[in-house]
Amino acid sequence: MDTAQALPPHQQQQLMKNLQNMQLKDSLTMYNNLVDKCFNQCVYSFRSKSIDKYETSCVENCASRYIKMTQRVGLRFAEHQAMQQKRMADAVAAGAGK
Amino acid sequence: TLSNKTLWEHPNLSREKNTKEESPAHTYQRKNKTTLRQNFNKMNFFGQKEEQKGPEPLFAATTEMEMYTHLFNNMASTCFAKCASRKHKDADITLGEMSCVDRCVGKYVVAHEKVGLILQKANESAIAQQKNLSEMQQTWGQK
Repeated sequence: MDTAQALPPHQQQQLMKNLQNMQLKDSLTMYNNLVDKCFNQCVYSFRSKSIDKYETSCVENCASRYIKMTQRVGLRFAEHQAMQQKRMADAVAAGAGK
Repeated sequence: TLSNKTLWEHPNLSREKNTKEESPAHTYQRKNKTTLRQNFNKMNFFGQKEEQKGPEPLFAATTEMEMYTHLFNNMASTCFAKCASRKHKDADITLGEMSCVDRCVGKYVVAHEKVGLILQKANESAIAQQKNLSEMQQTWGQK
């Protein structure tokens, strides 16, 4: 994350714009991947034309569980990043203090 | 002041002389010669030059953001595949799955760091090898 902070403000704005574009693209990609994953896990018989109640509830549960799990992953990842940054800052401070 | 002697015979302009007391013409000639040689070396020294510009900072920051996005996506789908049961009977995740996700994230981050270290070492050794190769080419080219 140091490269992001070392940029001048004009380029930081550009970076924010790039980040927003990336997030938009990423959310659409995630949507498609989620549908693919939940379909593969839940729907496996094609004996009838319409999707039945079991498969519908399975897909819905799969989607909501994935979202919740992603949120939890994001939380833990942010914690790990914060710990790592703290460790690096401590190492830099220890190196500067010597 | 130059006499009627040729340039090569003039004492101040011979290359074997000590460089401490030099006439301006001699210094100019030697400097010119060395810069020409340095330019020649720079042309042969393919790849890494001394004054190497890194990638543009905006591109580097954007790529780093992309890297973190990819990392997050891969981590989420891997931990989902490994931890969530495939039955999907309920819309919530159980306590066991939650602790599984926590441990999965911790291990994934550590694995990411370790692989990064190995890649960095491999990159450094590749750069050193390339440098040795181009130095060898230089010495062969001079002979």
